[in-house]
Amino acid sequence: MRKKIFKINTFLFISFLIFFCLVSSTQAIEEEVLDGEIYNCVCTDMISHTIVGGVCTDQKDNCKEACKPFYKSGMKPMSQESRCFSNPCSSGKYGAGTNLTPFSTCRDCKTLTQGHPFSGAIMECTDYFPSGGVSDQKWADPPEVTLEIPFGTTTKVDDLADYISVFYAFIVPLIAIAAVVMVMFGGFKWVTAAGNSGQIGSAKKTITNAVIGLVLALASYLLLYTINPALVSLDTFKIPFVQMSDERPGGSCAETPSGPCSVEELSGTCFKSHADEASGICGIESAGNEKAESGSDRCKNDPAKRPFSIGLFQINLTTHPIGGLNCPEAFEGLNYDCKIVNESLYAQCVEKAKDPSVNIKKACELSNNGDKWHHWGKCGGTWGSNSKCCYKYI
Amino acid sequence: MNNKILIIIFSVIAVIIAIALIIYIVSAKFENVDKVDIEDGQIFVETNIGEVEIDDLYTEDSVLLSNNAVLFSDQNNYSIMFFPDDASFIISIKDGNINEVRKKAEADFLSKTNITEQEACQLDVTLAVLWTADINAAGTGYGLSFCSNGVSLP
Repeated sequence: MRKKIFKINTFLFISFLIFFCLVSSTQAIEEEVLDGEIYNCVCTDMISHTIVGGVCTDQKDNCKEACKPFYKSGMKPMSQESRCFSNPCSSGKYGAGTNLTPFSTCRDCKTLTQGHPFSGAIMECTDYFPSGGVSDQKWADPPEVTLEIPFGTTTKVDDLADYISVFYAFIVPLIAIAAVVMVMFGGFKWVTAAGNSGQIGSAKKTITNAVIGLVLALASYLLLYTINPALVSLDTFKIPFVQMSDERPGGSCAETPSGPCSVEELSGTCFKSHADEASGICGIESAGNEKAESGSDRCKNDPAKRPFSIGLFQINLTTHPIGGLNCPEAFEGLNYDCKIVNESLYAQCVEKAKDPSVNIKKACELSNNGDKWHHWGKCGGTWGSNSKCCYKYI
Repeated sequence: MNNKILIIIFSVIAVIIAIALIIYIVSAKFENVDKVDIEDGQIFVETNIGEVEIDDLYTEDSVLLSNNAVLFSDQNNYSIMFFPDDASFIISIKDGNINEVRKKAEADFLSKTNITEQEACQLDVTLAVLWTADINAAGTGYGLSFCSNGVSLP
């Protein structure tokens, strides 16, 4: 009889212990979300007017309600831009009716006047991230996904990391409940074993397995963290906003149909896959005339106003060595302000630049094999063939 | 039964390969047909309306380029090249009023080649504008203005 009571007590103790673990873990998860900190809603409308819109306590709050009064009539808020923000410093200087500085640029701030930001508190950014730093980068907001099968009250997640986090918070209590049920079942088998050693063994095994499963579930975070902290960081890919460029894909210069500037010829050179772009640049620079001397790029300080851009790609000899010759040494001054001071070197450089293979090789070198055409100007710029062709600039 | 099916399948594959091979050989042969023939300085180009006879472009005033191409007219405002590999011409406008220069260049082209406009329209002629002449007009192939495929300059 005593033995049975002991067994029942043991069973109840283990059950209680597991139940306690379950309740504690659930509360801990809840405390992570509701830690009592007051967050601020940063509201942004469609024309990028940004104000602090109100109070929120959950970072998952999309602030739609809090921001609603601040949007102009007839103007819908950009839901992705209106969100609960935890770091007031990140909003820079703000107060009632004050437009915010971009919140990604402020690293630290001080409170100038006390109170809730919207009701009159003014906080001033005292430390900005250095220009061009990582924090200056604007990341795309994660897409909000509505779950077809919600986890409890959670119906929306931001990304996969958020999904895993919600899933973990949801599944651990379920595992704990299942473990408790299994321990109870094992205890029931043990109690009703009536001294049957086989059944007692089975009951012990059931309880042990349930406890091991529960410990594994609860300790999974610790295990993963021990293996590699990155496994539990739950960082998702950050997608920076696309920097709008005036480069037009594919460019707008026709390929040269014949001669050394044709795609057929240039694809056999170092340009390879960029042969079409090289053909466009080459065509608009020289039309395939390997002996071409620029009519406009001429040294104004030279009595004969001789050219300094030569050959298929009109290589500028005042700035670029070519074919092993240090051509800039043939000149005094750069570009149009040049004067030819070394006649022999100039003649050699011109001869080299008129050699199609040498000229193409130099153009490859300057354009990173046709990948960057900045030496030929910028799309829409004031000079250079690439101002028309609009191939990749940098 | 199985053997018959196999024989049929292999026969079909063999026929397809044979046809593909024939097409490849024939097309390769046609590609290698010379469009241009140069005899005693005279250039003969095969066109849709027959052979077009062009005056000698390899004169003392011409500049010989790589692959037997020739720069047979090099003026301040335009230049004209001939590429025998594909019997094509490129007229490039380098400077000046592009419409006026185009007229002069086309007239010079007809004069140097000694062909009619009708014959010229059968040839592969590209008229290009360098960016230094007119950035807006550059980057496009225009063709000869008197031909049906000629495009007006902007």
